[in-house]
Amino acid sequence: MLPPIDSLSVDFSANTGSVIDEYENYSSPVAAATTFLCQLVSSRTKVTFLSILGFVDGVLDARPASPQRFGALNMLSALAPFAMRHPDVKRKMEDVTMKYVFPEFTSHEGYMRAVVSPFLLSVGGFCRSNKHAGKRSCRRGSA
Amino acid sequence: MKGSPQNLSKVFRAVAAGLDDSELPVRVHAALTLTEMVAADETVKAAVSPQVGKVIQGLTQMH
Repeated sequence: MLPPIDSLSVDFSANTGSVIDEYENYSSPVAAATTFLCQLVSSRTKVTFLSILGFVDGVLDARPASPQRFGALNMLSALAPFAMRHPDVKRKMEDVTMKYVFPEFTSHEGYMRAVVSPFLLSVGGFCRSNKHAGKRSCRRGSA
Repeated sequence: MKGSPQNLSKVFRAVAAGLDDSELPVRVHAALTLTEMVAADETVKAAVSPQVGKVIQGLTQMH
């Protein structure tokens, strides 16, 4: 796990303040795994999407240690754009968010608290206007 | 997503509390999320507007 300031500079470019393509950097295992996950789900959605979602759900349901939950939430974050386009899954995302993600706001580990806000952004928050839902690319997320 | 107003206000309060977190990345991500929430929802906008001065002050002192 990176120190706080380094984890921020992975998330944001120092010059422009914009989100950099951290997942273009294949030297990091998180980047490689996220790119693979996004590619897999976008080109084989019907076969892979629901089963991967079921896997993530199973992991979160078992209440494992923080690092595992962090990984599962990162996967969910990466899959959020697909989830928000899927009518059935979209309806369940609010419950999932309140059940698994919301409690992490009070987590003792800083990196768990830091993963919640980017997750809310990628599911489009609880925006009733629905303006932002599903717009974020699957690159967005916390490494 | 069409969220319930109760959940929206719970999440808004938690994100707002994140602005005062002890860790910098949590504060930065909370600020960015709050920005999107204010832009997207009128009720959040109404809740933030009375204390917008305090929020801006917090943003400028973020380091």
